[in-house]
Amino acid sequence: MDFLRPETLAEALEIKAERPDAVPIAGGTDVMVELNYDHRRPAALLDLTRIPELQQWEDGLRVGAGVPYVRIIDELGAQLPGLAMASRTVGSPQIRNRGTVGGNLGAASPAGDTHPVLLASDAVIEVASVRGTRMIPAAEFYLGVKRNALEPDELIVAVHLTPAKGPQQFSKVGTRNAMVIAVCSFAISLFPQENRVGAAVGSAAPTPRRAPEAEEFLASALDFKNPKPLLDSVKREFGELVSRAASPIDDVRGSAAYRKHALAVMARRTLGWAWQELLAKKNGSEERPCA
Amino acid sequence: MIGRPVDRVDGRIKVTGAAPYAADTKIPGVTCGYLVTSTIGRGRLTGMDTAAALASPGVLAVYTPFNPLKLFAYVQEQNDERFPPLQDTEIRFFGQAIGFVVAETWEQARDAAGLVTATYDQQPPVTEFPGRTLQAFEEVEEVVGTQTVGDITFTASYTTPFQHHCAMEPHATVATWNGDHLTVYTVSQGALLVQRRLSETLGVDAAKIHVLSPHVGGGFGGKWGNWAQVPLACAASRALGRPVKAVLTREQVFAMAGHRPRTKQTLAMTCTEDGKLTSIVNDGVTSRGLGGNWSESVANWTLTTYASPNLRVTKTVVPLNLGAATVMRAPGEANGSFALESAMDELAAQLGVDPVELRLRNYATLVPNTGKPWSGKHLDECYRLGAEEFGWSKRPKQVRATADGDWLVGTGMATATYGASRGQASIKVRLHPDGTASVSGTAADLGTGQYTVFAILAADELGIPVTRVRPDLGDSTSPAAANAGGSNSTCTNGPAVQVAAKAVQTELITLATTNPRSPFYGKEVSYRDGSVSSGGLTMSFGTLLTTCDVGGVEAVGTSPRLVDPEHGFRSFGAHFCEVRVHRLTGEPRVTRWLSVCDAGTIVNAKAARSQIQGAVVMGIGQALLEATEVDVSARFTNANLASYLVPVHADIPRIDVRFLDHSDPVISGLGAKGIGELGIVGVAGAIANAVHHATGVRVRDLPITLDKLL
Repeated sequence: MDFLRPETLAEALEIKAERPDAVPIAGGTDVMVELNYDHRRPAALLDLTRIPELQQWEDGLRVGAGVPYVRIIDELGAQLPGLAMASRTVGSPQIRNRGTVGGNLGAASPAGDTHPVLLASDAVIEVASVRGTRMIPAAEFYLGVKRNALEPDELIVAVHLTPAKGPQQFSKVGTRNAMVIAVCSFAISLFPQENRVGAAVGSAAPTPRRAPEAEEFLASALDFKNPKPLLDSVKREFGELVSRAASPIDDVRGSAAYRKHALAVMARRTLGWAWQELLAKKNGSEERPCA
Repeated sequence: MIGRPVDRVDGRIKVTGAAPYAADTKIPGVTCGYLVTSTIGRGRLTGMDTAAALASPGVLAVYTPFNPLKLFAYVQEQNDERFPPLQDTEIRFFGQAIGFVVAETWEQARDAAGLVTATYDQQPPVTEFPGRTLQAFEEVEEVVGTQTVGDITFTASYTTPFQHHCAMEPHATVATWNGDHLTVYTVSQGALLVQRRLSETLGVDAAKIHVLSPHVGGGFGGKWGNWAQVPLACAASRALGRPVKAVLTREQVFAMAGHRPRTKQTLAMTCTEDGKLTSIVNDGVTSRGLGGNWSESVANWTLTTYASPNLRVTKTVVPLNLGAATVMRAPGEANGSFALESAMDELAAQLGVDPVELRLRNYATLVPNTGKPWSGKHLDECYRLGAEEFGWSKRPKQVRATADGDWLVGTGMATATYGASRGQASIKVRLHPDGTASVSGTAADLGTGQYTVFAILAADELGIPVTRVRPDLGDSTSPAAANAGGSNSTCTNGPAVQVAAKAVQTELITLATTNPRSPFYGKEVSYRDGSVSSGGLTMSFGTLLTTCDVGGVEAVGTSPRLVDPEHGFRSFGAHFCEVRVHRLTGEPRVTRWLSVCDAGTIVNAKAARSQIQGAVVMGIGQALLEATEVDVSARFTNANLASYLVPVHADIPRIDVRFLDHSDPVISGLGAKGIGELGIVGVAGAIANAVHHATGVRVRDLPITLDKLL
């Protein structure tokens, strides 16, 4: 197995063009597990950890694919609260020191913790090859179980996200309190200026996916200009529509029926938190509920 | 000194990485062995192709059933495998050792192992439980009384899944020969267990086998047996004339190094209207992995827990195509107590009686199945103190009566008991000229605190600080002491340490009065607090040895096996817990815990508390998380620590542990009974009862996962 260590992005892209079978590795929190279990034996590993461009984030926001979760939590928590919340639920401190959003996207597991947030927040994935750069909206990025929209010669370079324009929330159900793969997860982003809502589910379908009917319903049911306390009927309908957007399976972590049920609960719960935050802000209070 | 909180004497070397574990052993020229394992669950090997592996870089040998290392049949019945590895072509379970590749490096051995191919004559493996079986059920019964009639009847079935020990340290063995002498560095709950097994299967005099197992990274029963890597490393080392190291992967540990069997218990109880039990029948079913012989007597805990004039338990064994089932912390009692403690809670609800009160009404003042008196039993005090400290009287009678936001809050309790006994043990105490004392025996410290127990008891008897005592464990050349299993270490080894520390004082006095260089030569002397005195002269033993130019005095003390047909011996305890279950998602979380234990003399309050806390943590795993799944090919599918969930820190509340101060003078002068397993007994029952109190949902099928609570 060749271990390839490019120093620049340009060099990495050239290698990837020549060796499309090279598996990119950054934090190694997924790839090393697969290697250790001999689930795959790639001909080459492409180490991305020496490339400075991937380790940076810029205002705007463009977050390098190699920025570890711990930095998203520490440095971007205020601008990207939803992504920071999801990052906090990833693995253990050691995993969060190593693991990256780029890696989450590369693995494209339906249970990846950051996917629902990226979907609900209109993230755009910047991918590159020697042929040039492509910008892929998150909603078009996930193609199937552990399959994404990358071409064999492409690398994930960055994730583009706008700093939160309104409240964001993330929720995850697991069988234990930490270091656990989600039974199912859910993210919501409110865009008050645009009268718009983003909502997405994780670990409840072959891919992470948005819940468009739930988003549309909520956008029409909520009055962002003059926010009033939420009606229970709105929360219920929203939860129901989110649940309907999922097509989960039974597995050792939970049954399909449980996942449908829990998604509705999480949708109602996170909507309640997000709306409470919006109301508090309108009333001049800076207090924010936490997840 | 006995009973005070003492820091572990081996704590510093463990947290700094200085403690040598088996796999850390560095021997020049060591080679690495890697196991090839079966990829079917049942059948016969018809052929293996090892050519590619043999041609692979660094490979020294590839052993298979077609090119085996000679190993003699196992003689002694044990909790591990029935047959030594590679001696026959029958496949009994998925993941069975079918090959052993030895190479210069671990990576080379692993890589070559991946190149070995096998062909099989395959048969469908048997994995259904209970279900069709390969052979007739075996039934074992114990019956006391014959009546099963009462006013009130309660019947229910309880099931538990396969579970694994998940010790942090995987099974590792390093073997090296010097002529016909074998030295083995290995994981073990007792160096003599390894020596005996290797003597059998290698055909070598036990006196020529030196086993070293000074530190063990957790055992929980999984390191009582000797699994395939032990004889293979030793036999390959002999054949190759090179040291061989073999370490199981985590997946191999799951497949071949033992598991807690699946069980089902069907309890039928009758009682009078005022809640006095008139009969208990428990029909237990246990799986047995065909890799081994062992199975759980899961119903037997029912025989000794509550007073009832009629008791009947049965045991039905279901053999499955799996690796050996083996002992795992409180084997039988952990699962057995889940059923009976759940049933007692259900019966209490049916009668409208408080669960603590029901247990007191059926308090067994004599051993229920033998009628003998207990050596000592203060379980009623555990219940009363626990209830008082926990605030049990404030508990609402109704289920689903307390909510805190979206969390439903409930409390539950259960009884813990575990058998106690005292075996024979010999211990050597040696006094050194530098003023230190060493204490040695073949005992093992798996993280249990046995090192510190030796240090405390020797220091106490010799009257010197704990820091001047150096315990040496896990060496087969030491006097034969108790293996670490069955909660037997401290109650068996402890008295022997005391005997030996006393005996060495006599040796020291003999030296003092008979050695011409001694200032006490020919005088009448006494020993006290590390010094010998006569008249106005007092001299520490270190100075005395130095003065006499003697390298040390030592004595071996033996504490005999206790044979007492008159009494029943057990440790006792009561658990009280609070559980919160989310009203909408069903997530169960343990939020408060109190354990009160009556286990005789506690030698080290700090380590004892840790041991009970650790057992409660393990019990929380048993109750809420742990289950190994088996697929149609008879493979354990979640054979890793990412998919087999054990509790994490965030799942564990503060665990309050209290010990009653009642020595048990019948078991020994020290008065200590065991606590290694006691702490897990009843934990799953207490949690199931609290979950029921919180939600009104009774789960009789472990683990209690969130989807069962909606």
